[in-house]
Amino acid sequence: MDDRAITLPSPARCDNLRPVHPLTDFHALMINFNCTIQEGIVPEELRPALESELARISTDILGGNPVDVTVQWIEVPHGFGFRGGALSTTSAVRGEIPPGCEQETRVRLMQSIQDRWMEITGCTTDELVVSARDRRPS
Amino acid sequence: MPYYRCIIPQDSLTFEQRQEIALAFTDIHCGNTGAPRSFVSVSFFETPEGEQPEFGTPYYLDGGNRAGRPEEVKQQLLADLTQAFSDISGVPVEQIPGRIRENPASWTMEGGFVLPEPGQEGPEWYAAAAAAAAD
Repeated sequence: MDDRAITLPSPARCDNLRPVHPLTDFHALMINFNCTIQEGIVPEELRPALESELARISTDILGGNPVDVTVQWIEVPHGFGFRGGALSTTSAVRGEIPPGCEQETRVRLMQSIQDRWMEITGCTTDELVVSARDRRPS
Repeated sequence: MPYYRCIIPQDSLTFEQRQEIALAFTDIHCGNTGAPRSFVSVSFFETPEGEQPEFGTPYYLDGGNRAGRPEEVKQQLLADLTQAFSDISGVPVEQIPGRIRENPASWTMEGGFVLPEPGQEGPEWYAAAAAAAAD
């Protein structure tokens, strides 16, 4: 990414973020998702829709540009993931967002992701963990 | 929220060993913290032969928990997890480094609820967690 690719949140959406310097702090505007799923639980054909919805929801709420949202998939092979000591069917969507987000905004983000993920995949609330943590300074 | 990643060499543990370790980690985490059992996730990630392990050592325990517990609880937790992994896998304790990272509970939504801070779990939250787990 070069300086020309920087996209600042619109003023209406950036009041929940701490001030950023566009030239030295552009990395902080990026949003990354790490989706850990169990083998066979989230079919591959659903993943593009999930990726675009993660980008849409997060930039609708936090601002920024959907092209700056990255999504990484980690598939846990069958027999390698457990929850409560039993084989797991849980997906974990871990977001890394610009620091300084107000809690109300963070909850709205997590709730929106949860709702949409459940709609697309058909999973239950117990089969999904969503987090939105502040990006640590690099 | 409690999530433990076990980095292991390829084909080093059987399914039975992995399951036994996952059960032991669940017992240990809940015994130390009082968290609901259904919240404890344990995954195993094999490093393919010939590849550099993620943390530079063949075995590594990488935990992620809610922040706010006393230091001695965290130290005890990691020591107990390491010992259990060693007992079940046969790998010496000194060859199993690890860490427990922490984030604020309010940064995670699980079972449809934002997690409470450690020690702030009310009976209604335990009831909701149990109901969600039973769905």
